[in-house]
Amino acid sequence: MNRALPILRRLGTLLAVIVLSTFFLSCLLRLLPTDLVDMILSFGTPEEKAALRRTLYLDRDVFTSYFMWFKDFIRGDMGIIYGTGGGETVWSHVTRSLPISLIIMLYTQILALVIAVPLGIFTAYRAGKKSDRIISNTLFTASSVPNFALAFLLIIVVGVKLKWFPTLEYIGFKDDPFQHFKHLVLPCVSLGVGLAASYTRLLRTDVIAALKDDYVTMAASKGLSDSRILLTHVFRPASVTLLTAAALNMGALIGGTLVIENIFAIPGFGFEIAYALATKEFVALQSFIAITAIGYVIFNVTADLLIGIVDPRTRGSR
Amino acid sequence: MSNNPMLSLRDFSVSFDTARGPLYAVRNVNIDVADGESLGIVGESGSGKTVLSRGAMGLLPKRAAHRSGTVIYDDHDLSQAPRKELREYWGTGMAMIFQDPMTALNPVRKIGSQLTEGLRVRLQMNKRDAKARGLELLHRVRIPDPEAVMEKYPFQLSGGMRQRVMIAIALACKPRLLFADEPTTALDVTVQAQVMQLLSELRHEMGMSMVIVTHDLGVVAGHTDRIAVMYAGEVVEIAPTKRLFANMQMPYTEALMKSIPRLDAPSGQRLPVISGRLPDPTQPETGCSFASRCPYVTDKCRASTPPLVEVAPGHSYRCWFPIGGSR
Ligand SMILES: Nc1ncnc2c1ncn2[C@@H]1O[C@H](COP(=O)(O)OP(=O)(O)OP(=O)(O)O)[C@@H](O)[C@H]1O
Ligand code: SF4
Ligand SMILES: [Mg+2]
Repeated sequence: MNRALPILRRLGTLLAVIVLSTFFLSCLLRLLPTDLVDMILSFGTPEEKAALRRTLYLDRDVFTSYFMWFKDFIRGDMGIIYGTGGGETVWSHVTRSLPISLIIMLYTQILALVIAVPLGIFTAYRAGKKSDRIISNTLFTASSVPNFALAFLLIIVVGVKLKWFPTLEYIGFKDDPFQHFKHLVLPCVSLGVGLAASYTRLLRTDVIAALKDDYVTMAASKGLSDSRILLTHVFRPASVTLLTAAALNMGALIGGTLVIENIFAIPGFGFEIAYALATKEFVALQSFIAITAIGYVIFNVTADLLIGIVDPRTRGSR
Repeated sequence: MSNNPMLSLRDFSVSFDTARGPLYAVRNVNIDVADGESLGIVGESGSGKTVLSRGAMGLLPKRAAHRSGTVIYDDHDLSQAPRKELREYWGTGMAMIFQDPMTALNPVRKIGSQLTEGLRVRLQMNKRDAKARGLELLHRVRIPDPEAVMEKYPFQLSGGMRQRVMIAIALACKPRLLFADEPTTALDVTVQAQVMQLLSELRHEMGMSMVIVTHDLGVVAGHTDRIAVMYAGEVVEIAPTKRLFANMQMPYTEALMKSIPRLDAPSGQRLPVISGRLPDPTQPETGCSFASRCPYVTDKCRASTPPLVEVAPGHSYRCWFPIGGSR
């Protein structure tokens, strides 16, 4: 079977999704109640307005203008932020804010997995016992709290009352590693608890199923130690679902991160989007949303590819 | 080496906790397996063969399965042994070929790693030696192109190949006693014969004892020294193979015998199947467990349980009205 084919097909899908979603966006921009150019240059001369109209390709038909925009977009030329007097490019905002959001998402995933892996395995081995019931029910309750509500709760209790962790601002790792992590504890916990709960539940189910499987008994019959069986025979197959869930959740996590950044005043990508929305920076917004869509698609495709690597049964067949 | 049997089960019983109360899967079984001997355990589906062999090895889940009686392996009483101690015997002392090679091989790990892990952990071989030995094992179970098979996943192999891989894994650490649980059920008829032949050859080569579990008397006929017939968790007849075929006493053995497929039978002819079903293992009845299906049943059979009686050295059965006797 040709291995490259499914990957090529997936890349094709990826491109189609990105083009469709950004094209849809650029149509929306034309449908705004106020003319985009009038909005940006409310007091400009007709000449200035005409020039801007050309820069934004608004003087062309929808398809041409989209094509031109897309060409600029993939070159990293995303226009400028008009509110700052035109001094800053959209791209500079992207490069400044996007890494912060990605870091938050990465830490959140790591945190969720670090919580879920031992708990999932532990509760599976204790399935039905008291310790399993307590942990499973607690996690279930915790996961039913929306993450923004959890964020406010944490800010009030852990941040303001107990003063254990800061509740505002972002510190770069290079500036101060300790403060960097300290500032990200509450945002990542707010985002990660729900994920951890769902990962734990998935892993618990899978480990329980794997433990009943003959290949685990077979591994035991070779005289392997329990810990070895757990790692190589139980966890590996069970981790397929977990990994799938983790990768697919990257997409869902984008939304949560955008909200949480605004609560904790972290200058990430979500903060930029909210800011662009509030200040009517629609040109920037179009690129921001296109990037979000691309991120979403990339995460999902990566998820698929990763599953193929971990679970050989799916390789080449999808 | 002592003259004692390699494996000895005394009054061995296994029950499971189920939603419908205790399920008696194996009841008061007494079986010995001598050094180098090949014993067949035959019975229809659900008669307790798998539970018996896993129970003897100690492989049943501790929480759900209750064992009683004694298991003596090589003069060591393993009935109460903790898992940690049993592990010392698994792989090297006793090994098992599992019923279904599709589910018994880990689907996401390569054949090579599943084959060599026992060698590396139990025999402390290094990676290179383990691989060399793995290739040799695959070669021995007649797998063509062992190098390539080491790199494959179970789903990439045919049923016959998977079964051979299982055999190779079970034999990896040269066990002294091998349990083969329906080693050929998942295979088609021509491959069945080949695999049985292979097992017999390997047993002789390695001087191993073997317990072959099957629902098909025909499969074990030419490959065992003795056969134990199981019904509803009990051994209902046990005899040297030749004697059993010539001189069976128990009506259930007779029924099993009649259901062996014969090569000379006209094709398309349906085999007589034993009508009726096994009794419910959660509802132990008094009397002979085969009474509900036995063509020779009388009131006495229903009223009291026939004891295991010995007609000849090594030949015992459980029946009030044996076939050989006067009826
Ligand atoms: N883990 C378990 N929990 C509860 N009951 C079980 C369990 N394992 C087996 N049993 C029951 O024990 C009885 C004997 O099962 P066993 O698997 O030993 O039969 P078998 O002779 O191997 O049949 P087959 O030819 O289908 O493999 C059956 O009634 C089965 O339902
Ligand atoms: S004891 Fe009676 S019912 Fe049982 S096998 Fe013998 S004849 Fe049949
Ligand atoms: Mg079985």
